[in-house]
Amino acid sequence: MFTEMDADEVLVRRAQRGERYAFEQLVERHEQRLYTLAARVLGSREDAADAVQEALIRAWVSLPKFRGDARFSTWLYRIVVNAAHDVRAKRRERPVEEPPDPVDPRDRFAEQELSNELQRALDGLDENYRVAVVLYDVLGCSYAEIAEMTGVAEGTVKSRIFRGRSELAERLGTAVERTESYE
Amino acid sequence: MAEKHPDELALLSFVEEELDDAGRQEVSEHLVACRACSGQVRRLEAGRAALRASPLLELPSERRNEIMAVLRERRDPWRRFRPARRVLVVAAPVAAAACLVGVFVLAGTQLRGGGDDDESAGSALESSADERGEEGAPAAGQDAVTTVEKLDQPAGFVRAVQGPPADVVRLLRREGIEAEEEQDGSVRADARRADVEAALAGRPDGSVPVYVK
Repeated sequence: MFTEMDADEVLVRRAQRGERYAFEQLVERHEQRLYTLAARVLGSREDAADAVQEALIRAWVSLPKFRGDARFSTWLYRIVVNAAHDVRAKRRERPVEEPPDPVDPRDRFAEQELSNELQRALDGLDENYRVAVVLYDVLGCSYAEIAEMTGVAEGTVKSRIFRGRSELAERLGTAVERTESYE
Repeated sequence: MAEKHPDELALLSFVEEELDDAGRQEVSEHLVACRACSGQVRRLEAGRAALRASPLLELPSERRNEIMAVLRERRDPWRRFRPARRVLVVAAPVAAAACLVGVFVLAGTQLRGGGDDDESAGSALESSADERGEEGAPAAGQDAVTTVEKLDQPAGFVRAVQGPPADVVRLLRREGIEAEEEQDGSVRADARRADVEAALAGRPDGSVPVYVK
């Protein structure tokens, strides 16, 4: 059976032979997840788009070095996490907070999604916790993949997911103090 | 309440159903009696449910187009290896010919018994290069490539890209350029050369010639 990973592998090989069109197809396949990752981590549509742009440029430049040891999506996620970190650092350097861009009416859905309660709760988490829960629960990465992407042990990843989820639930006010049995 | 609480990793593993039967049984029994741990498990489940219910977000189309345009402008990371190979193919015979001329000139000078060997050889080489309009082997190679490409190009030719032609037509139309596939398998675009070049920037070289009207 031809899987999504197989399709990625074929496109990566073609892109590594210099076919830009194959790389564009890879971008199309992953852009939604890359943007979601950046947006959930950064909490800003504009910054997320900047991070995705920067990440894709880095991916294009580094593509000859991609050996296929990890899944292509995992490799991209790591680049996006690093790019998002850099974008956040640059934003912190800004002396005065820039006014938010006017909302594009065609993008109301995305704006609504980012400004909702979940995003506010995510914004309140430590960045390491936020990255871990988004990668694990939103994008479905494994502990091992997250460990590889973030350069920490799997135990640390689990601990971050534990704390990230717990704190998120508290911020959302959805923690339920019940004494139901788990038998 | 049970005396020893499961650690956080055990609670996460319980929620993720990663524990074996014995481990699951042990944690379950503890949760029945421990309000704090059972509350913690509820929080883990609630956090997970909130995250997993969130949809993937759409990159705004305008920003997507901008990003793709920026990517198309980026230099091919493999390109730096290609000109070297092309230059080598064209420059090697030119350089060999130049050397041969040099050897003949040198030999002639020696036969004439001239004393200013270096100067004579140098001027002969320069003159040989001048006749071809070149200024030395590496530059000569690059110039030669350019010249060959220019000579081979019919009027209106932009570049030959990877096919099939129908895909090239679609690609151009997607960029707002009217284009048609010709009977000979080439593609003719009704736009300025620069616009067509920009639209084809991301398309690898191939066998489908693209022309502007």
